[in-house]
Amino acid sequence: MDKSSSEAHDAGIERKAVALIVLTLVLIVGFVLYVMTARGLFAETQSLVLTTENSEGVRPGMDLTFSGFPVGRVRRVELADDGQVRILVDVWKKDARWLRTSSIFTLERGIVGEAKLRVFSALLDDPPLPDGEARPLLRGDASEQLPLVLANAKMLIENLERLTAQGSPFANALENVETVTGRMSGKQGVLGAVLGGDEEAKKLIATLDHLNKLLAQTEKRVFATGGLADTSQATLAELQGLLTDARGSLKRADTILANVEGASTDLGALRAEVEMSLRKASRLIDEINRKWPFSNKTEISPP
Amino acid sequence: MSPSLTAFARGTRPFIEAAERLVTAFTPSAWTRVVRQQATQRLWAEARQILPRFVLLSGLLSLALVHIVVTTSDNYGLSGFALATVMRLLVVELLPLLAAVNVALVPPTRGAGVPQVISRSLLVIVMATLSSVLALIIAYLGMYGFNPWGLGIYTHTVGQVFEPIVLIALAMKTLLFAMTVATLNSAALTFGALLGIEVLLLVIEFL
Repeated sequence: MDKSSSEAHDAGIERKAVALIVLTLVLIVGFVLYVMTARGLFAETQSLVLTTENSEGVRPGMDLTFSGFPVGRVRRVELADDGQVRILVDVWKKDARWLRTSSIFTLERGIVGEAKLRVFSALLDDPPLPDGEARPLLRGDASEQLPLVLANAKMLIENLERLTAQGSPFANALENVETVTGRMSGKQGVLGAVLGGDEEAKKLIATLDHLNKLLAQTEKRVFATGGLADTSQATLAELQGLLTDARGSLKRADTILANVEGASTDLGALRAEVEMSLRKASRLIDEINRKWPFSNKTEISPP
Repeated sequence: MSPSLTAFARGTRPFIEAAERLVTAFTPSAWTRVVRQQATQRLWAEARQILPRFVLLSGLLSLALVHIVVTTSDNYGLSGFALATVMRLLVVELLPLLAAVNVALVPPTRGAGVPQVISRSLLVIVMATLSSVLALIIAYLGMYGFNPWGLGIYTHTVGQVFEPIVLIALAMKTLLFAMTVATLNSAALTFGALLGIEVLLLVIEFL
């Protein structure tokens, strides 16, 4: 009896121990299956190739996210023959609808944490991205830009310091502005500010008054009845008469000149005629001398 | 025999004995009905002695660590890394080592032989598994509370943390810990060996 109860007790213990081992095995197998499911081993995928110039920050196993939700996982990163980096991504079929032909893929590297592979699909009505499609990957690297941003910020601060320092051109300009605005609020207002003081403004006002008086006097002298303007007008009328006369005189001179020209053309013929007449007269006198003994001497005088 | 060689032989003796015990324990012909009975009885006896205490303590430790990591990472705006950190810290590194240390703290019975080797190695695996599953549940609750909608992202994080290499390292580590604790009789040597295995696997994992 004792032996059998002890045996039964032992069998009970054995069963409990086996149950513990089975529970452990079930947990281990369950966990492994769970991890395999979590890693997407049973999920259907489609392939996507992302091309970029630099693979820094990309590693197999990292997520491709859409609106913060993982829709795929990087399977492989390889260097193509043309030197471009090819990132092979497995996109789960159930999430492939978020990838459209117009989708944009980016790799963002923050200052803290690993890089993030993201997809942006603005137009969800576009046709879905086909399996095995290659797309460019745009890089946005915060840390790459950081030294440049810091350098620029430093330069900006230095410039600001230089601008606002005592005795700097900007500070002087500000002081001048203060002086000018102070003058503007003075008795002579803006005029005082522009001319550099109330005394100068007063001088300018006096000059303007003087100029006004001068203008009034000039008006009186020039435009009054019998003034300079009227006299000038009479002189001009007289001058016009004189000009008319001169024009008549010139016309007359023209006529005379035309006549003189006509006379000068007949002079040659007249001369020839006179010469011929003289020769005839000379021949007549010679004839008389020969026939009449009034003269012994034969003398011919030229005309 | 030269003195150095003698020292070497004396130093390696416990390990050679441990290897002998291991080979004997995992020889199928050694698994007689009596041995099986003794092994299961020992397992249950030791489990009853240390398992509840260990599960309770590891649960409390997990709770504290999850709370610390989640709160700290929230403060620094790095809450996205909290879950992965907790999983790596507890399940992959801390709990298998704690399980092994806890079993090693129970002094072995001299000359107990094969049943003790089997029971102690199984106990390490059982304890590591139970405490790890508990830690994973506590991590979920600590992160999302009693809300089923965190399960999707939680599963995704599990998939990211437990890469094949990590799973293999975890399995190897637990097995090696179990064998070390089950076969080495000296406590000092056991702790040294556990530390050595931990360092070796860390090197393999992160190299």
